[in-house]
Amino acid sequence: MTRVVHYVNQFFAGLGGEEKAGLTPARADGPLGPGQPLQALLGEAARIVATVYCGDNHFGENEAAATEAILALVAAERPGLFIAGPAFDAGRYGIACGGLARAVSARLGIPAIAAMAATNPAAEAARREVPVVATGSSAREMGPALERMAAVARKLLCGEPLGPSVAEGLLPRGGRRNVWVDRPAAARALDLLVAKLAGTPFETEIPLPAFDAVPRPPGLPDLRRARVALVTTAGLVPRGNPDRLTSYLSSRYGRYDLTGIDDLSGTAFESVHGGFFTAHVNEDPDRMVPVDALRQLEREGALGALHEAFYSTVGNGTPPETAKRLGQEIAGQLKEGGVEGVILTSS
Amino acid sequence: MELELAHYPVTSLRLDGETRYEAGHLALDAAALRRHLMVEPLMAEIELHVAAPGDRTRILHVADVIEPRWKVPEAGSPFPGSLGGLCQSGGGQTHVLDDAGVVISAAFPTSEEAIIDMCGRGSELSRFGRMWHLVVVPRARGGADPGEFGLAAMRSGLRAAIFLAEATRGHEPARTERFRWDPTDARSRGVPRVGYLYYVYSHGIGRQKLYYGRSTRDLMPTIIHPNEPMDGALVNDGYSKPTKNATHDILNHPVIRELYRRHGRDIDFAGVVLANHHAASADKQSTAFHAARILKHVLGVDGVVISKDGGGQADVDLMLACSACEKLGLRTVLLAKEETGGEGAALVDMVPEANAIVSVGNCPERIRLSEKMDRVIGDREFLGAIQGDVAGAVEIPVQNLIGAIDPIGGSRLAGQPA
Repeated sequence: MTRVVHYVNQFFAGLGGEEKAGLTPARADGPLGPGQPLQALLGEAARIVATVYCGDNHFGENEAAATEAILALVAAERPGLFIAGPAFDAGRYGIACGGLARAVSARLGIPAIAAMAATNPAAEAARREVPVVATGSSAREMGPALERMAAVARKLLCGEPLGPSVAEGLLPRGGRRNVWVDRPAAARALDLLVAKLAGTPFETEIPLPAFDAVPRPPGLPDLRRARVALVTTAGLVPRGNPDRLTSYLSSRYGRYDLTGIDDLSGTAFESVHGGFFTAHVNEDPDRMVPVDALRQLEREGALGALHEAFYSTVGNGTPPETAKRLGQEIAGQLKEGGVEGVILTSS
Repeated sequence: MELELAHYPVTSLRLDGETRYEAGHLALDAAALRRHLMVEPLMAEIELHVAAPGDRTRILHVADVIEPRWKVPEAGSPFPGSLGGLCQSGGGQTHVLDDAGVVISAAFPTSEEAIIDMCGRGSELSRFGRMWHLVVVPRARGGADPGEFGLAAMRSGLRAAIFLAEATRGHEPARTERFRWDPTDARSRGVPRVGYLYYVYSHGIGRQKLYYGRSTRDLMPTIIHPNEPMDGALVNDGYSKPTKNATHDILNHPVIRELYRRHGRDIDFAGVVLANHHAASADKQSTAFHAARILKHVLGVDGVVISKDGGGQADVDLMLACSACEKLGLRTVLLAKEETGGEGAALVDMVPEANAIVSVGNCPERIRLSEKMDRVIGDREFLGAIQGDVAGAVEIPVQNLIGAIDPIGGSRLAGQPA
């Protein structure tokens, strides 16, 4: 039997409403309030050995100190699981549930779950770090909320991995996950199209993300004095690929020295990009990373200087977050190296 | 035009004695098959293997999987233009070996690893792991151009596919299916007209689909008969790119089959437009413009299913086409494979009109193939970034298990919020 500690606010502990919102952290033996039906749903597998509670205002106004006090109360019970809420749409209570579940999980290393509505202001910060059971917006939906919480708790107690958030009744935890569904994609596509054409409600499987818009930067004031670097997403690397860039889904980049190189040779460089026909680049890598042309401009005085190294990654199926990180890291290094302009070539 | 697919199940496959099909049991004369295939000047050698469902066998470097098909010789090639001369595909009778494939196993420069596991988790996730396969492993002569050798390997696969299915000549099929679609069909009343905009990968030799044997690289959006992809007009000239469709997928086209299934019920199947993934932005915009124009003003559709054949740049086509169609008042649904690291950015491009997308799976998600294999066909090591014992347990992105993710919607794998 696993020991469980349940967290509730002053109201659900049965101590009073707003007038008691200043209560300091305390504990009681066994389940209180919603903890009682929750205990019934958890059954034999787990026992709520203690309920820890705190007034919402006290927690909100003394978050750090209250968290420390509650962590001490929780740790003393040596629980195998911590459950907070459900907080429904209550903002202050949600912040306590989400924050405590995260703190118990991260600092005590004890599995923790919270429960609140998707619209709770605390949901966004908590849902990626701990399982947050999705609830309705008010205590009228206590029953279904407790059922889902108990189901998730039982899985965690058995060490069973949690499925996708939709199936588990959780708020999305970030990222995507493959699921084996009932109908093939072609049939689902036609279902969706027929609904869309009929004007009946339909739901996309991939919601629209927000993309950054990159404003066009001003031009360099004087190219004859500018230091310019070459950066490519075409996967050009020294032959043998010393940094082992992958041809697909790359999460790295390489920095390759150009000191003393006037012309990139196909015997010294190659493209490891997996998304285009690389033979022409491998024959003459300047076609992708035009060192020869820039050296020429350098000699003519039309270009201040070509930067001493070029940067390369493979832009092939790279998730935008990864691409953004790689870009920021490369840009940071270029900036440090005094580079004012970049020619970015892609395949 | 009407296509009859005559289905012949395969319940066993072996390489011995004479070529014979009997009640599901297919035997192949290995020597005759080898002679039949050793006609490509670039080919130094060819290995033939059989892989059976449930075998502790892993196949590496899968460049294509082809469903065995045969037509009576008077009807022309089952893969017209790609092997043999031009003739109309999509009509008459075609013999099909069910639950069977010809697998080409070969590595080319910049190939991505593509695996078929004949047992365990891999065979659950990909239908290719549950079929009887003849695996063709071609070896190039020294100095052979990779692109040309790839085309030779593709032709060898098609030859083998025809060789296998020809064994059913004179036999009664277990079942037949008919697909009839005529441009002059009366419109079904009271249901919306739905078209299909079918993008194919088309970045030149080794990275493209061939339409009647011709490169699709410079294709303008073209109205095709729905039966043509299902009857060998469209063939994969692919280095192993596991998330691009194999020829086997196209021959069993899930979107076209679904459109047929619902034709006259809740939709009126108005036709298929074939388009390609161009490399240049202006060409992509032109393709989206013309595809939408044809769908709206020539085929007169109300709604469109749009699929892509690749990731990254292909997302741009998907979105341009979606936007172009929606702006003309056509409602769209997109089929998209996802490449999601973090949250909310499953695709590299999105337009506000793309409000109805079906996921065919999240490519980079890792899966564990835990079976210990007795036999590995194709090579002694993995390609690219996959590390580990080729015969042992290995963790790979699901996209490298060919068939688990099907861009044209045949798989039941779908990405969902984690």
